[in-house]
Amino acid sequence: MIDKSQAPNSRAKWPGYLARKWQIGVAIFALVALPVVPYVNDPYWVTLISATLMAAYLNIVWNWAGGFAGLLSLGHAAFFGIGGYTAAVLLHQYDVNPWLGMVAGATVATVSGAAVALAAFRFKVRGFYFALLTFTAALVLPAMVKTSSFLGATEGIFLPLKDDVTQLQMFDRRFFFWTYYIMILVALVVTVAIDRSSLGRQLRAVKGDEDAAESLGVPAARLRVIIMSLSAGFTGLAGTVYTFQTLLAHTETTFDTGRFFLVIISTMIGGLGTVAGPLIGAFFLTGVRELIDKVPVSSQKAAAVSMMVYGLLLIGVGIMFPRGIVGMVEGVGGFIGSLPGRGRKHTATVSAAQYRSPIVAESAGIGFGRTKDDTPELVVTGLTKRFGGLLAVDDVSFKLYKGEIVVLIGPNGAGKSTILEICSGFLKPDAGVVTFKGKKISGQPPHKVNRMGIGRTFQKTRPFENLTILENVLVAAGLRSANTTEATAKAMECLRLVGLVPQPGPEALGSYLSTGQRKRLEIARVLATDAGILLVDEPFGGLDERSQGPLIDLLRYLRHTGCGIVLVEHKLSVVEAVADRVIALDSGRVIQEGTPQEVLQNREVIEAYLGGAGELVKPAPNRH
Amino acid sequence: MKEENKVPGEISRRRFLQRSGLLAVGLGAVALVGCGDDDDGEETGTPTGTSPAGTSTGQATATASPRLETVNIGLLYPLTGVASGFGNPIVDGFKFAFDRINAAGGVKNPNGMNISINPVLVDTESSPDVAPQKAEELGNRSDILLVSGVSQSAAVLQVAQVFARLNVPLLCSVDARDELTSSGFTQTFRIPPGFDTGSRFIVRAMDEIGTAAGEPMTKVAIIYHSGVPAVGDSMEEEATKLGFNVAEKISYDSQTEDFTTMMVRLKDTGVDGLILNVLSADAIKLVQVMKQLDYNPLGVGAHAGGFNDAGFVATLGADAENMITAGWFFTDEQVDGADAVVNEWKQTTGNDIPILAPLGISAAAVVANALSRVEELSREALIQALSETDMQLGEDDFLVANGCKFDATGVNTAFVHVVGQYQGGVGKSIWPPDIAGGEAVWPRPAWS
Amino acid sequence: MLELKIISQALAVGVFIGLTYALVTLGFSLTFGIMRVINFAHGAFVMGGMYLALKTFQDLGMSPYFAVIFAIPIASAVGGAVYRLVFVPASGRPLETQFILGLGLAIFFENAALYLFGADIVAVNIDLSTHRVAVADVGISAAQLIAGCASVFMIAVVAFVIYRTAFGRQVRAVAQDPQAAQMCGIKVHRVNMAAFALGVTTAAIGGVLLIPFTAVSPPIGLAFSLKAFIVLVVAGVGTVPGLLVAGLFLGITESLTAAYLPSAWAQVFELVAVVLLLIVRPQGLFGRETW
Repeated sequence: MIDKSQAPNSRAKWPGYLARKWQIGVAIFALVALPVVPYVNDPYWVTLISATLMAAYLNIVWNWAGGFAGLLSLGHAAFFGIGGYTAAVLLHQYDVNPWLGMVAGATVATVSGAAVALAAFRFKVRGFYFALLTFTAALVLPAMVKTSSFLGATEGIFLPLKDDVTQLQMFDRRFFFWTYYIMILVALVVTVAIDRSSLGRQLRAVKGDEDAAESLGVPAARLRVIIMSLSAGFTGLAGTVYTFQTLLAHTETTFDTGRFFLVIISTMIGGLGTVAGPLIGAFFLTGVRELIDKVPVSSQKAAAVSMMVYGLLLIGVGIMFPRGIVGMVEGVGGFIGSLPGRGRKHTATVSAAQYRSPIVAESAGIGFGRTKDDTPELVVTGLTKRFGGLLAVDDVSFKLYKGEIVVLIGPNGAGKSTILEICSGFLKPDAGVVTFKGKKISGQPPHKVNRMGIGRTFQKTRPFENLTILENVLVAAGLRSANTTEATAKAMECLRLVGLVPQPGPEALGSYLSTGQRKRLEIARVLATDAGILLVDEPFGGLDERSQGPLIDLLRYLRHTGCGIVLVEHKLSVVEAVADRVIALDSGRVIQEGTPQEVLQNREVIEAYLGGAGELVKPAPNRH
Repeated sequence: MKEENKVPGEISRRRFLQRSGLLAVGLGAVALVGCGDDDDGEETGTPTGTSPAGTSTGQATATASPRLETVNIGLLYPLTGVASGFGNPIVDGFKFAFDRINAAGGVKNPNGMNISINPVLVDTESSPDVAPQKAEELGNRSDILLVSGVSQSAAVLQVAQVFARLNVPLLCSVDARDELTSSGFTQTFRIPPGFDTGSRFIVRAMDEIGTAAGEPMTKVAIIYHSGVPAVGDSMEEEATKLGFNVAEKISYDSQTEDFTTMMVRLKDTGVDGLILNVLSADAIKLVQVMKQLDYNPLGVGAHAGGFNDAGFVATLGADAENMITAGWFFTDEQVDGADAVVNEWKQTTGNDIPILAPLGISAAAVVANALSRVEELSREALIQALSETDMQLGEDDFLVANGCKFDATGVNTAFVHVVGQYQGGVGKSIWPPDIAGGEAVWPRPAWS
Repeated sequence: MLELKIISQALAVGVFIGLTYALVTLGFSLTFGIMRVINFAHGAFVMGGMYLALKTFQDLGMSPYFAVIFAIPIASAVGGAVYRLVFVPASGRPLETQFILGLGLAIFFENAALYLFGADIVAVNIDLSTHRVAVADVGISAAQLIAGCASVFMIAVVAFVIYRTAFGRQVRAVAQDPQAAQMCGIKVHRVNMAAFALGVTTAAIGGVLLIPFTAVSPPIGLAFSLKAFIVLVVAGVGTVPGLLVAGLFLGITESLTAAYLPSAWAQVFELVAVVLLLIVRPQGLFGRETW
């Protein structure tokens, strides 16, 4: 099976926390300083800055999809072109006022963006292939326009020159300056809103790890459709304005893919997925181009040399600023902060003295207030899953009650993890049904399964490396809270339960955690989803003896609050310590079920599981 | 020896045309002085205030000491990118012509000015996006008096509207889209007209040449690049009007990798005349395929485009022989002063003059001519002067047939495409008869 | 009768042009499959090969095919240098960075060519360019025949190297898992550099084969990159038969539409097919994601 989801090298390790105050400061400063430009009595500057503003605007709105959501769209030229052509055709063929055309253009672009995103997600075109798909879409549209005389074919639609603001154009070029200025203002407000909201956090979570985000109840596909259509619509708006600025809708200009190559490049130079990065990048690129252009060309060779310098500059910038200018500034700031004497702690774990026992946390209102019950919560019936010729899970049935810990044991390849994958919605069973509180959950997408009350952790931990510890938990908490304050309180409490303290600064990024911390973070995250049932896959793997105690306490505490837990575990000491029931699996089948004592003393189990290997703790098996 | 004869002769002719009242005796003396000045100018680029040019002007006008003015002329052409093959030779033509004018002491204006011309080169990067941007920059520079550009059809309209808005005179040196005329820009001037007029000449020429040779085409095919549908339409209309059976009118895209199938079909349907408008790369391919198929129409003629490109004949060599092309100037034309330009080009650059360079030279001549008539150095005055342009072929080194006189829409009404044919590896003019220096080979001999 | 002739003619031309597309895409596919780099500068190496052949013909007066002798060392050196200077410092960077680098390289090479060779659009016209090789009524030029056959040969050689040699095993190991390969003692960067140089060399040889019937100018590089992109998407990564089939698909689509429709439609057909394919089968017709 080919995994379409993994974009090569696209594992973002860039900070998502970069929505720092200084960035907003830069943006505000730029926006306050810019209006000076129209009063510098030099139309050249007005023109240059207007063009830069349009580029910055395109960067900002592209960054919503490309930066925040990790949708590397190479096809925004299509939306730009759709916007421009819609307005041009409406004016040219139907005499519709350009301002109405602008609205229409943005609307059509929004719908197109949604359509592309929907098609992509319906067919699971992700990562690199999404880039290819959008790029091809951006090529196919102008190719189609070329064959249609209604759309001006290869000659384009030439719009009449007027000095009339009702026609979306004025001889005074400050008109376009102010148009782009207002557009940028709106776009920046939207950016800050996205960045600050739980939407932004969820988008970054999806970008960081789509599966993990879905496991926490984040509707990844819907979010991507929303952000893509938003980004497309705003891009289409710029397309209409640009068309009336240049008075031509033409396949080579209105659908120019090169423009969006520059958008991607300058956004990256500024800082992908940041607030101020797209703005900074656009001005940086303009500056570079101006410097190069300031050297007057006297011949073709000189012009060629200046373009060669430009190419080399792009390469240099690409190599030297992997995280963009914003990332570079942050790096310098982080370095200064880490200098001796600045006293920043680099640990994300609380000391033993600070660690509150989970039981104490109960009074803080975390927890679930559930009591033991006699009706089974999770019912697995006749579950069967094949991978090609391999029968991974073979007619497995079991039940899980409230406030009970069931441990799945078995040798590698026994099908334990596969069962968890099915119960959490990541795999569809070939046969059999999983129900939760009487409702069928097998076959539902992961985020819906989570919403219904089933949480999971991953065997190989998957924290969002681009988010801080707190943000990791907030992704889950934010979905279930009325406001940020409530969500933060809840997230903090969940973190405290597992013994993690959130810290500011890059050291707190998910990518900087140790294995034990990552495991705890995952549990905190899933706790924040309010799941009534937890599916926990080898949480003790890679933990030293000292760290096991608190985790065992935590599991017991969760059981105490009424949470049902399905645990996959190898360490027999742990099994004995927490298990209410144990289910032993071999080759996908249940071979024994019962209390820990019953199962662990069963001959068949010992033979299948302990006999050959002679070891209790096995190296981590593969997930499938 | 040769050079000495030519350069003074050329300069004397220009001055003669500017000031027809001058005496022949004085003329010889000025010419000799001017020659010396010319050499200096080659090195310094612009003439100095104390150059002998002052003396010559003193003879010409009553003004005691003319002011030396320098004007900046913007040249907005693609120097890099896909269209750079068009942009560069035109710009080279401009620079060559301006150097010559400056070396001779600049343009002599009766209002007490000697005007030297400084070209300001701006590269559009062949990008229809960059072009309007650069146009805006140029147009907003108050020291730019006039702009000439652009050789790309997608860019020219955008650029034209920028200059129309800023009221900067725009001089188009090369064929451009027809909408430019209909958009009513009063400061836009076009030396070759739009495709609608321009592309008809090749059809007419091939008709007349065939009839004169007694073997006219009957069934023709029109093949044109999809980027210029107006060319295809005009060609078809003209061919129909002249009584040809237009068997096929084919629009092709630059994505087309091979013409074999198309040519097989045309050959089989008995098409005996090909009327083309093709890009440079495709022109080469097309001829190669014709030879491969041993396809022998009576005549193969193209409107501008790839058949005029330097690479066409350089690549095809003998296979380009007898191909017909509508161009602007061929070196064998019977035009006053043309030889001097051609020779000086060869002398200064070491190369033959490219087919497109005379477009730049001629546009430069129009600029100089207008500058010699302006009341003051302003854009408005220059627009006025340009609209009153009335130049004969050969006047002031204007080499594009058949002179220059703009109508109310800024289109050159005197324009005629000169049609040439590759003979002995060189383009020879064969039509219209009053300008052409050579004889047409018709029908073209079969591939050997 | 005429119809049959036209169709078979279009097919013949499409097949042989399509084979050259496959060759042009080979290096693009190697670079992507092994290093996960979409190298938009790939077409520039085809352009480089074309200029090399042009200069061999013009300045040395030799058959352009002799340029292969120069192309192999020069292209290998250029490929190695580009990999070492650009892609090694950027290794492990995300897709977006690789994208910038490819574009920067493409701009650099295009304008370097403009500086060195000027903007004229030129080709090489030799006897083979216009010599017809025909079976019955259907034929192509000898140069096209040579280019098509040589392309198949080159692809076979590269396939042999990748699938049947020790070096090829290392390449495939790196393609599958660079870290694991490194742990096995494979010098990843060295293998990558060799593979990159191999890709560049095949591109340059492709250029040499094309010049007798395709004109070169500096901006043509991007056009080849685009073709390679389409062929790669249709074929999928890591498949030699896929490359051939996809190359033929592109060649035949172009020649058939050019025969019957305004040829602007060819691009519409190709791209729509690519969009549908990306949606339905993103890994391409034969793709396996790595080499």
